[in-house]
Amino acid sequence: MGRLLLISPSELKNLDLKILSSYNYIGVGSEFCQNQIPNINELNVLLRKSSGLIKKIIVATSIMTDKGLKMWMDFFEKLKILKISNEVIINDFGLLYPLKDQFKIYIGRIMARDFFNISKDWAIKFFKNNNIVGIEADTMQLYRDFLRFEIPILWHRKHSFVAITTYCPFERHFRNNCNKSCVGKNVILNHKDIKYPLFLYEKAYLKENKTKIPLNVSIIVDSFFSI
Amino acid sequence: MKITVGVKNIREAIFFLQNGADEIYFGFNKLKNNRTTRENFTCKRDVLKLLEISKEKNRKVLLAINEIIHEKDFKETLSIIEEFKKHGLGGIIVRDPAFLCYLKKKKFRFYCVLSTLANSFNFNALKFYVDLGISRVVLPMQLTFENAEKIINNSLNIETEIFCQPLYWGVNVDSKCFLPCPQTGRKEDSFLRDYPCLFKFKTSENYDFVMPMPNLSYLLGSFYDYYHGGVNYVKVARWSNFLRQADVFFKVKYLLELLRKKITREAFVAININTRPLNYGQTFTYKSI
Repeated sequence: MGRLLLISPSELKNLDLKILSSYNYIGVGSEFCQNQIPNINELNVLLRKSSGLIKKIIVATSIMTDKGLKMWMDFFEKLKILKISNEVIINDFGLLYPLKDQFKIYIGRIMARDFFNISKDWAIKFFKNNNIVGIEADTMQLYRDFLRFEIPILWHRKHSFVAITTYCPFERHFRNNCNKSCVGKNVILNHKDIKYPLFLYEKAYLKENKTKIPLNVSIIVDSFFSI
Repeated sequence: MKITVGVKNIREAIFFLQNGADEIYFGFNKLKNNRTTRENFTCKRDVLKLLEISKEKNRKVLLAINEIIHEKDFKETLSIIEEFKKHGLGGIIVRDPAFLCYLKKKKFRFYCVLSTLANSFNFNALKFYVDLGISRVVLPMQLTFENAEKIINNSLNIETEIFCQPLYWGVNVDSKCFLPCPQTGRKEDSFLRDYPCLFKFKTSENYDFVMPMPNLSYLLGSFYDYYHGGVNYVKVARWSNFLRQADVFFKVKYLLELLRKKITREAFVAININTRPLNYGQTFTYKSI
């Protein structure tokens, strides 16, 4: 069972590399916000410094607008040239066409919701045609359903996501550039009608994942803020 | 810009058609869609009556099948669609790519509208579904004009549809929100007094927090730009409370009337319109006619 540490580009800046000794893979980017584009130079440095510690770098992406997609396509061009990574977690169907021929793709847990109960025959063909090598889950319901696809399942251990917005809760806009006001902020929300606290992280609301790690997951995913 | 209205029963359909709806859509209990039982038509006789009434008024009717469909139900779903099509059904609202592939494989050509639940936030995502045979896309509620131009001006002859964002706003991305919600119709959620996305939360530092939405002026501006950008349809979605839906419908008509009369953008974004029920802390009630 592999272990993946998922961090944002801002978190990468302050990362103590010793933490990587517990992980096989590192994911950089964001499942929740298109503005969290990694810095190519920092990724290159990470690749050099972490060699021997981790097997590979995976890039994580979110739902995207056309403006966000353009920024990310420029990034992927550089990533390809420098051969830093050839694996991407996607949460938007819009990334399939541009990436499938050159990158191995994982379906992120947001987009994975669109595969719940979907036709198995169609899904298996779809995964094969689009170079999809794994799918994320963070609830038992998703995990059990995805077993039928017979592809690696990546399990988010500490938090499952509850809701996501594209309207930045910190800066209150839709722009594809921002002041990264969310960095370092983990807001905990409570309401008497909701039985669990919500964690606001970037553009997502999450809750604690109390489910035990299922048996047949291939990779356990930890987000930096949750370790 | 035409108005397409979701209806829960014949009386609502007649009401909205008589008051200016250009198109109607509905759900049918035998087919998966994202509404509860009481928000759907329950018997075929009523559906056929709806199709007959709409045909007399020369209005298109669409059937919402906007959930992921079990593969074992594909055949029966298509059979029901085919039967309704013979009686005048004008198209379907879908989100399941596997089902769209099935229709393509069966060479079943029909007017397919891509549901907002498919979250087509960019042109590439739209193109994925166009290759599966859709003719119209309902843009995500959270996609405002500033990020939608490439989709609206698509070169693929795909019609576009939006929600009237000043009056319909998804605080979180539709189909990707799993907060407990009275709209699910689940017993365990029935005690909720309102949509949780409209609650006033307390942070761990004891500050108040509401899940944010853009202000009314911004949303009116987006609607203005969508209108002038050439979006084809505005959706008045099914609302559990008919009176509220009717209220929203007439407000949409009012806004469209102002736009047809060439109101300036400056004046439009300054309109003082009551945006209930899209206010924080309002009571959620179920009421159909």
